[in-house]
Amino acid sequence: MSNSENWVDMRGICKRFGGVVALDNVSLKVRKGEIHALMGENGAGKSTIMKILAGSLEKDEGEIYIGGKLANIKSPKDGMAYGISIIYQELMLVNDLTVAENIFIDSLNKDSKIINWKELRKKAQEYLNETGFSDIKATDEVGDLTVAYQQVVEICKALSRNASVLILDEPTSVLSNNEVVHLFRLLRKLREEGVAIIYISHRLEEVMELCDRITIMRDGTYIDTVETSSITKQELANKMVGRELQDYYPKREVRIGPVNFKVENISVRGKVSNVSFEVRQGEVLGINGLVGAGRTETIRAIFGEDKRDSGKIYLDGREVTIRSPRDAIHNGIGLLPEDRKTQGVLLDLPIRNNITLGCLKLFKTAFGKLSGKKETAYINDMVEQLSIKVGSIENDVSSLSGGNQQKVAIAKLLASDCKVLLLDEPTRGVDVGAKREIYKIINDFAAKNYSIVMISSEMQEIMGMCDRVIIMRGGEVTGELDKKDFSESNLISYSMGV
Amino acid sequence: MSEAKVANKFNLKKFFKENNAIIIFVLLIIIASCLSPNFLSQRNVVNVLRQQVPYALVGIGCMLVIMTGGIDLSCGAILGVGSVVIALLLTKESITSVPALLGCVVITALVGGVIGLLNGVLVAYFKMAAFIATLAVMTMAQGLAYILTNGQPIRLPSTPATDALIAFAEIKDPLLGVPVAVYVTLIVILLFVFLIKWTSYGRLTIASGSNETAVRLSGINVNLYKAAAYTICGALSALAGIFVTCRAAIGTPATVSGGYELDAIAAVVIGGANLEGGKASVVNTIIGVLIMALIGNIMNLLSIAAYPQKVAKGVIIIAAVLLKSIGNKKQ
Repeated sequence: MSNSENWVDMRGICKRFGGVVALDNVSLKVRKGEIHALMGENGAGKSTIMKILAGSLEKDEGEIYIGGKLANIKSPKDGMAYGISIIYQELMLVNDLTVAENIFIDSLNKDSKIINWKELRKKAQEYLNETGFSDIKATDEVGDLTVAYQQVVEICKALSRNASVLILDEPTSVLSNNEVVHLFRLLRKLREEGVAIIYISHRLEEVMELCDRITIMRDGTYIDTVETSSITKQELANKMVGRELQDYYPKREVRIGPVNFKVENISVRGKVSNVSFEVRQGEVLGINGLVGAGRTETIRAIFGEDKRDSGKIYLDGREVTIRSPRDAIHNGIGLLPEDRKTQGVLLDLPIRNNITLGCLKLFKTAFGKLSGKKETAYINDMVEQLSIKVGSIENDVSSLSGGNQQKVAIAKLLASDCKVLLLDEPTRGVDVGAKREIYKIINDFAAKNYSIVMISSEMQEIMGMCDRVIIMRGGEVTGELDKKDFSESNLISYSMGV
Repeated sequence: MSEAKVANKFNLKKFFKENNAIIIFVLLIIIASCLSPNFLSQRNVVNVLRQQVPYALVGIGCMLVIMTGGIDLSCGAILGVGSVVIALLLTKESITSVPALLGCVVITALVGGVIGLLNGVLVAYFKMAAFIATLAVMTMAQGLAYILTNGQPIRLPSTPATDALIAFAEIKDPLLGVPVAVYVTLIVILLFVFLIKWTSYGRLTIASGSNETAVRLSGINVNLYKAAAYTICGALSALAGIFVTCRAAIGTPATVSGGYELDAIAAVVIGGANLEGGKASVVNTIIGVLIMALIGNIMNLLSIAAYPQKVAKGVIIIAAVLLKSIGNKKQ
């Protein structure tokens, strides 16, 4: 295979965010007329390298060749000029405009001359017909279309820019099975027309069915590129995860007590149906499943942040009423939310104000004055206990690295004095070192007889940390596994329903 | 060594950024004293301070609301309601004594608080946009002030109660010649400095504006803190209205359109508050109030006519805020 066949050739790409290395010497070669999968766990760096190719992030080191020529891509505009179009999970469409207006939105912006609407609509309809979706009309408002059709409009928009490289970031996460079939047909058609398609996904099945070659990434490094026909699902999963369990997850002495937290038939219309589980003292219960399986929705409904349509919650055998996060915390149930920056911490306030948010009453003295001394002592103790690396506790949380921000969020959770901890993706967006420390914190609190529920998409994390796991799919619990039955194939088969 | 240098440079920038309200304030004082020898005269200083009493009270109220990420357009109208309510109460024949006056002050503050609470409930519990909710309440409060008075100014009758009220604005301490009202305002300012800096009320009010979701998920009743901010703002505005009435010795419904809300909001913003919430300080807000006052005072001393003054004031507000955003960008 000669190099000239590679239309996209990224060599030795490095990218750092502050002190965190997001990409370390990653290479990617994609040919024209192939569908090339980019696989890896969350945080492997898939989206980062694609953003660099499309120009929405700048690389620190490395070279990009497009069609054999060195390409200097510094902005999304540069990326487009090289024929690269990226379709994000969150579609970039204007809902109130028509399909035609969306497809040609760049030229609407550029050309100062009067727009020939008839011509515009005709051309838009041609693209739609070409892709085989003639039932979408160029005059439809985008907001009225289904998500699947909106995706088609995005693809037409890319084609109207003469895209020779099309990047799709987890395109099927929002589609139904039937819609996936249509999307795949369209992608195969584009492959025949010679477009280089890069397909980001962590769904093994899909990739095996659709893609010609697969590049695997892990923890910001390049692992391998393989022909799909030459690899099995299991081998692929191993390459994605790749590390030895015992080395990575700290050991813990497990002493599991009686059941003290139980939920029954939790339902949220259209999202969660009849989820039940119980957690024992000192136990870490995992909730695994794909993105969109209803895991976060279940936990939020239990915590009282979202409305439940049905469901009962028991603590130590007694039913408790939870209608708001306040009720939940009052009963000793705390939540570490999924999205640290928007829900977990107060980025623009000092570490001090974050950590003691839930326990200010501990420091009250005469006239309601807070004792700065007592508070500082408490915070220093917490900072040491969780080994949070801070310059000063008066600095804003935004000055910390992702891992330390997450630890501040955990400290804030612990301050509310809850014995049942609901952790939603506790290590998302955190580097490998900090991950290990967070695992240790979780283990410490399990050892102190806390009951812990931990949502995670990473199978290895689930298997390394949990005593038991339930697996969700389509809003329902599809399986439960004890530690002795943990295996990737078991988890995959429950979460994908195969 | 080079690192220490960087740290030094950074701190200097930070100093300018965090204190630029004070820097502008000092600059204005210097400019004013150069422009007019009368500026630093005791009479002028006392006059400026006394004029700023209602602005300081409304300013603190607005600051609380802005801290939670909201805005209150109705505070000027509530001030107007306060000023006619106290006047109406004092015309009652049964109210003549000084203790009865205190009761009237409390009732007036409560009326303002209730109108503020309406804002708070609409914004916090019905999730209405603060701009719209308080705009609607502003219109209602304006109408209310005219209904209560039949559109006529209310003259204060001569009773011990009214005399005491008017004296409150006039009596000065013998040493510095500063009116009692200014001292009372100072106590209110100090009270709010304490509340914001040293109590959980202040912490949680700021937190609610900084990241509402994160605070709610920590089990804190965010809506309560938001509603409280509007309620306190209403009560402080009504108290400011009492001061306006006692200075003029007349309660007129036209006060509702005195534009107090815009001056107060401008003062809070000049004081460095973030309109998205989570960042504001009482001391800087008061400096903002004084900056607004100085701008007016300087132009008065230069005998600039009223209409050009309005234009100049607007220009200066824009300049002050621009200066701030430039400081932010450098960071």
